[in-house]
Amino acid sequence: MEGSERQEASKGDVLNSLIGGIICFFTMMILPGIMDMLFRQILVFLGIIGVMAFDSFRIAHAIIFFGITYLICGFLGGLYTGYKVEARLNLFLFITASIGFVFLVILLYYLGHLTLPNVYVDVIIPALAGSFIGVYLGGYTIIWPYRHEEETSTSNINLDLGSGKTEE
Amino acid sequence: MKLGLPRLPLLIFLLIVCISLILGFSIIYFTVATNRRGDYLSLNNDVLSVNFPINWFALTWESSNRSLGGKVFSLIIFPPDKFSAISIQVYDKVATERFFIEGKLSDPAAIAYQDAQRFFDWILEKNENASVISIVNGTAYAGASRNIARYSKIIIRNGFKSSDGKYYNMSCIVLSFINEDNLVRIAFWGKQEDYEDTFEVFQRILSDLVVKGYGGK
Repeated sequence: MEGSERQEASKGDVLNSLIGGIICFFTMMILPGIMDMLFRQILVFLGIIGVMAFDSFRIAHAIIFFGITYLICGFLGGLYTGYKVEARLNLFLFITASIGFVFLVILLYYLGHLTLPNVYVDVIIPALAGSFIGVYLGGYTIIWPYRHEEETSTSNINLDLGSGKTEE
Repeated sequence: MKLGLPRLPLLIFLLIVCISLILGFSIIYFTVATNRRGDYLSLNNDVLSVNFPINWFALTWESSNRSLGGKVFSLIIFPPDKFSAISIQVYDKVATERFFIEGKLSDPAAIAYQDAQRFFDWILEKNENASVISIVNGTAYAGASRNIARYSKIIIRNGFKSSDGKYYNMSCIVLSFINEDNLVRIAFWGKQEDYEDTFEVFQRILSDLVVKGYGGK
């Protein structure tokens, strides 16, 4: 019985990490477009939209989008996986991040965007870094208080065998 | 009472977001500060040196033909609040030779005239009511080194339809010249009113333009 329960728990965890990956992927489809529009509006408002012609702008754009787009997408996927998965969190977070990123690359391939110049600097590298770092940060954000409590309760247990009471 | 400890991963996440914003905008700030010339930005690379208004959209890209060779550097700039645009294309030596051979053209004057015709055909596809008011051909100085460029200027009646359904005339001027084995094609087009409003900017861009040897070394 225990073995089959563990198997079911594993299957459930795999499914949840897949769903987390899909959340990550869907947000990566939607959020970059919205953020790009906002970002350009900010540059227009500041009157410096012409800076887009420079190579250094491409690097700045990649750094900003890593933080405000892909990291957030990974974080949301990681939050879900961290909330749902009970054991072997590292493995399932890795699955979540991989699914989010790989699905994005497949989408870019079918849209023909992988042949665009500078797609690696503009999209691939920020998405790769953002999805993996974001997923792990999201997953550990959920479990952090429980890990911390586990560590502190384990270190403070003091068994008083004489009186039969336990103190924590 | 136990104090609620902040979740460290969440703090790290927020810190990374803040750092990425600060770093990214710092790079943008330094780029603007380094290249600003009053109300203009100076774009200086291996292909050309051009000044354009800081508050205009500007995009650059390089396209290449892997099988036949040759590269073309392109720049397009346009204001955010008017319907006009300027494009500059610089062909390297191989692309220049291919362009003349494939187009069966002999000189820049023919290129400019053909481009003007092509522009009108493009407008006609979008609006059957468009018609040519005038085409003027001539020569002009282009660039800081005062290359002699051939130009064709075309004015098209009802060439532009606005969102409220009104028709406006369109103007387009196309220039082409050869600079050290490199073909340079420049186009400036727009709704007539916006074209006239931004013509001064175009003249300044044209007079400051420096085309460097591209792909020849």
